Amino acid sequence: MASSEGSGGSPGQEPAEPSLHEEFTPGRGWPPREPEDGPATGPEPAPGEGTSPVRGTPPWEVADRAAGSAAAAQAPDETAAAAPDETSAATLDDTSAAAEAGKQRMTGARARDARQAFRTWRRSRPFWGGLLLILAGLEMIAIPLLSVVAHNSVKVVIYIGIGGIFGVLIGGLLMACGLLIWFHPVQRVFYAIAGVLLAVASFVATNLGGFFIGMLLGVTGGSLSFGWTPGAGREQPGRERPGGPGSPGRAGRAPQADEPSDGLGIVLRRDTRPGDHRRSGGRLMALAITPVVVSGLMLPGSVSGPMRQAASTRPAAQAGCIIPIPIICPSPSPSPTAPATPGPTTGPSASPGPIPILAPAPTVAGSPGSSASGPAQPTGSPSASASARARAAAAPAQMASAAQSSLTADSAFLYGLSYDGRAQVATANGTVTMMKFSLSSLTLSGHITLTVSQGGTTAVTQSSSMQFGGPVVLYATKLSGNLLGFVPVTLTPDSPIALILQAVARITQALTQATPVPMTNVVTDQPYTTAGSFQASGLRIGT
Amino acid sequence: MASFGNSTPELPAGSAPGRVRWRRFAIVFVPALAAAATLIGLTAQGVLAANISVSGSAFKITSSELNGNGFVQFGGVVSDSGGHVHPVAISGIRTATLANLCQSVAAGPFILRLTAGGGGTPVSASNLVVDADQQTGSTAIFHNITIGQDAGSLTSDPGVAGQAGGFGQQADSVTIDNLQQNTWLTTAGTFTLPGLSLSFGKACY
Repeated sequence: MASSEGSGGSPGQEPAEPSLHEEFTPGRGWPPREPEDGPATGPEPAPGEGTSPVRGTPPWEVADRAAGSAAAAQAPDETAAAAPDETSAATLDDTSAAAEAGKQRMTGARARDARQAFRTWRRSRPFWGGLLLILAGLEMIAIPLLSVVAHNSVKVVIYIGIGGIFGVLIGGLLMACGLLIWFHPVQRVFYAIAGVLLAVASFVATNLGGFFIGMLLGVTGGSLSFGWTPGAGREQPGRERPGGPGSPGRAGRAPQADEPSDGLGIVLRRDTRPGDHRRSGGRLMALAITPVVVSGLMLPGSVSGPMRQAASTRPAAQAGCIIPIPIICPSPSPSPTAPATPGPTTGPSASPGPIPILAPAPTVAGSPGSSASGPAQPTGSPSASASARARAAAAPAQMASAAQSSLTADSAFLYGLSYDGRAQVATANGTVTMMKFSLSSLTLSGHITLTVSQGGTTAVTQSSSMQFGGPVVLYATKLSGNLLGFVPVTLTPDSPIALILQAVARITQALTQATPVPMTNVVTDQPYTTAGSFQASGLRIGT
Repeated sequence: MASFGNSTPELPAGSAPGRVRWRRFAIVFVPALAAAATLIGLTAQGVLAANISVSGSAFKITSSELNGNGFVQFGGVVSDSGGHVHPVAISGIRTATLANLCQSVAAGPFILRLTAGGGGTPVSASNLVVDADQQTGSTAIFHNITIGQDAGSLTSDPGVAGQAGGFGQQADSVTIDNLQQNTWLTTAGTFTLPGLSLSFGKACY
């Protein structure tokens, strides 16, 4: 024993137990899974060891460095920590190997070792069930959050109430179940049941179970994890690769019938050992469910994607329902249950608002009438002398927008028009002097365009005709057009015409009640309008 | 050496290679599928409400008639991955019914198409919020509307408001015929989806 440490490792030592084996190779980076401690704790580092283990270097990289040295035999000791059954074999082989051939050989051996370690890890837990659960969670999270990731636009995400939260919550919990099944498989039954329940609940909670895909993945993954049991059907000793992976004669050899890779074993069915085909059932199911889910979704309907050919076996069922669950397909259910208006509509306070939405609603929010008295009349207006007789009109109950906006139309008919005077209208940028008009109704037609510019962007609302009814109140900073079609008029709060209009407001109101005032090429700046009713035809909101 | 094959040291209970026992699998899988089918059936009949929260630029909604109470609308922006800024109209409706609802989502190369609310029983939704860069309607009727209000002071749909200074509008009720909208993001507190049908196919418009 002691001699093996000092000699740079005599790999020929054949330990009888895994623990013993590990004890026998302390000089090569003990403990095997923490190579950064290797050189410090080894009583006498092996030659070539001084350069190999870098602090924080993962075992496979450590093995990489060591590969170039003559002490190539060390690598398996370090990488195969999780698969000690191979280690001894590899060590055996390397004693007989020439050092020059070491590097090339070691590359293959390391790959095999890593794969073997992963396989051992994988088989010791319900790997495929956990994987499906994780995929299910990812899919459910992706649907509501995809644009956040893709468009980097967190600020537009608005979740009201519990609905938006569910999408992320259930997806996250599903992922947690999958990960815990991987890393804490002792409690796999609980995680599996929780995953199944979450997946089923996701149908009502989050986008119909991620549009069925996530739900199916989750139910299958959870069931797989539940059905998984450890240890059974496994042969005991020396199960594979009796000769070892690193043997020179076998390094480049294709897998033989007695040691097929698992995937080949499934396909070829060469493996006659009773436990093996059952052992890979989880993977079979995991591999099967994904294309089944995908192709099952694709089958009917005219798939416009590139995978159309997969739909060759399109069922005669109505093109337009997926998922082999018959209930959802036709459902001509004029069910007696009226569309029960969903209960928890109170929502607003539940949104913790990751967004600037619940904006610091200035002044108004609670009491609509509060700002009505707010804008006290500024007596020292610059045009006070000109408009000394001007009555002040009431300001609107709500704050007006501060964004630059303009409403244009080819023509307008104004019914029951009266000019009420100047009003001090509150906006987010302070009060603005506007004109206040009252109308019984207002009709706009022809290329109606409402342009709003804010934050460097412009939004346009178009319509072919608009009818404002009920009591209509219009505030604007400027109103221009051709009165009666040929008299150009531009009204501003300070224009003399406005004063005259105000003086004859009652007359205009009475006159225009019967015969509306036509106006063409109407332009209204900063419109703020309230109306009892509003109808727009050919409405189009866009950019 | 003979003992190497049967265990890894770290996991006492789950360490040995295991396998799936299909009866155990079925014990959970079959009831879960049955429960899921029941939920799907109840949802398709409009008994249960579903939550919808979808984002993506290719998400389209059409409805032959939208009726809503508590309507607010204001401007916002969405910036895409290329850094382009898209103005959107953010609409919030406290409660809404949508007849002949169709939603289509681009899921990779496929277009997932969800229809519901046909046959006289419309879809109903609560706390609907839609970010759309395009919205059209053949006829839109609003009651007690205010246009040009400060977006931060909107009150018709409590909890949904824009930034102070922005351009907003609100109304007590809204009716839009032949609604079409191209949305970036849609959320709804609850959705009842009578006559639900999910398929792959063409976009809604």
